[in-house]
Amino acid sequence: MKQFKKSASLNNQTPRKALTKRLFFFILLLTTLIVYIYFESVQRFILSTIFPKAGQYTHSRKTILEMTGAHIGITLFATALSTLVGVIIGILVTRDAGKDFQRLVLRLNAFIQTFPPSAVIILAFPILGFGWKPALLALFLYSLFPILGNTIVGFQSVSPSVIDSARGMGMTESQQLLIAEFPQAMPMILTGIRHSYILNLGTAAIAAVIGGGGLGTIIISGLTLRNSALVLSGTIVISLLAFIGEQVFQLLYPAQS
Amino acid sequence: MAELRTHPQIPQTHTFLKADNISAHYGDTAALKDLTLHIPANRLTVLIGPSGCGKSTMLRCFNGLVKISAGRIEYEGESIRALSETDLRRSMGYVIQSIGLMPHMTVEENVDLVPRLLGWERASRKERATRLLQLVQLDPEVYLGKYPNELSGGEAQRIGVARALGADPPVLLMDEPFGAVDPLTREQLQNEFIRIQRQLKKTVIFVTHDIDEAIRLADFLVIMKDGQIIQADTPEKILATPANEFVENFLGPNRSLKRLTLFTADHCMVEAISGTDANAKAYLEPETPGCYWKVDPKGIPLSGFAWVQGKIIERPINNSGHTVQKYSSLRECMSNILSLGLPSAAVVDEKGRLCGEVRFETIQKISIS
Repeated sequence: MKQFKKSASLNNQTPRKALTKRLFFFILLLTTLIVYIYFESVQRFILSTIFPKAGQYTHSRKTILEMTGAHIGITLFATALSTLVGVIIGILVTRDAGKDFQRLVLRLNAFIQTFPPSAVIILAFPILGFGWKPALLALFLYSLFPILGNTIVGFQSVSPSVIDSARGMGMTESQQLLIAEFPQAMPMILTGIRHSYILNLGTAAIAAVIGGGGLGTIIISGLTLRNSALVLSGTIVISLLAFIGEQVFQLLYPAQS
Repeated sequence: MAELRTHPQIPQTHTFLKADNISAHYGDTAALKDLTLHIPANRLTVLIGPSGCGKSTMLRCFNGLVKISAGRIEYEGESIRALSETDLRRSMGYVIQSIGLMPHMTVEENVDLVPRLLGWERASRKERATRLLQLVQLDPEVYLGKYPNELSGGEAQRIGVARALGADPPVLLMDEPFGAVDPLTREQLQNEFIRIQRQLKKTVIFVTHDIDEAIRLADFLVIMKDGQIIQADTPEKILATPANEFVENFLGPNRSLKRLTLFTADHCMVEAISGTDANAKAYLEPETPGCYWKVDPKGIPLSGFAWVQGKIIERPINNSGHTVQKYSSLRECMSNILSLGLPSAAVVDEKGRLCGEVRFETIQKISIS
């Protein structure tokens, strides 16, 4: 016990240092991203040192800035949507009344996960048409799994004695959920959201196939033109976005790592 | 002998928590079978029995965590079915073996919980939490800001008791609260709980499977088996006249030794002879039945002297294991006397100062009476 206390007091100093470190990385990454997407000269400089013979270093119609905006938009939209739906369903099937549906929901969820996003896009095309809508649907379905799964696991991991004592001290159902259970399930849920965000960031590139915009536009035209510089340019931005997202989650919930 | 215990005997108190002819089921198995139990107010009732006897179920019926399938439970004259479940539970402190402190909240927030649910002001909540920690003898300045994972088992259970007392409920329900700690800590927690209970006089229902704990704490002892009550009476009466073979077996073979756990040191202690010098001969006559205690200027005993077989012997007191506390049982006193080889045990107060002694002859008188 004494040893444990010692390590706990040591930890009291590290979170501050770790926080400053994370903040530093976050700002560094953000600056790099902004500089890269804002200045075409920077893009040209970096890409031409790697691929001196590529000839074309930027997309002919759209700027990286526009594409990044669209990419972030669709990623965040899809992640927010699957967070909302995933957490609500997750809460419902971990209540006493909804427990019977838990297995069904988990299976259905796993089944949805097996759809390739490109297939969803093609299947949804006749109904939702061209543009970002079918892409959003594909991303939403694809990223529901980690959030829903983690929400269920998060609520299941709350110790039964905590729930028993919460009920015993006279909490209503909703107080039990908000005061006792939710804060304890939170780390797991956040991990799920983080997972979904990263997943969506990569998958959002296929939105371009159906005219949904985003960084997929430059990557796909790079592929058709056999121009690796264009592919790399899109990939650099996506990677930076992934790293930045990671840092944001770390800052939001420092206990996670 | 009854006057040695502070508590007047049971039948004089009124009951305000009654279970009449109740039954409870888990699926198809009956956990409680047509059982009637009246809980005496402001007393400590212990439910005991082998595992699976329904004692925890019984406890959980009182705050509605288990729904009864037949019968009626009355709380202050009203059926608990008529009361709102949350109000009922908020008026009964609840302590369980696994404690169930919220791991994401500090000690203060945990102790605060029921007052917060009841909508108390922040300032009075803070004051209450500080007072409760003092009551369970944990320094509020050190502990209020800690998280449950920084507490030892004994400390966590003290916080559990403090949390149950949060909104000053008239009733405390305790389900094997000291079952998960080591024997030494358990004895300490029991001593402290006796002190708290004498101060607050709550109506306590306490579930345990440890017969020694039951005899020590109970004002009213309920022995259960297979969802039924076998015998319910004061522990003195149960020890003296077990209802049947089951109770006798349950009490175990050394009943006269168990009787010693009925009494606490403060009821049997006499004034001790003490001084700061080591010249015991000046204070002790050869026929004195007790000891002379050498103490430091603060009153903390350093060693004990006594006449044994014609000469004076000295036994140094090096640690807290060599003394007993005011709320220690006579059994502890007995073991102390035997291990130190002195004719009496030194009783110390919370600060470790000598406040009396319990003599072997007193214990002898009690055990044969």
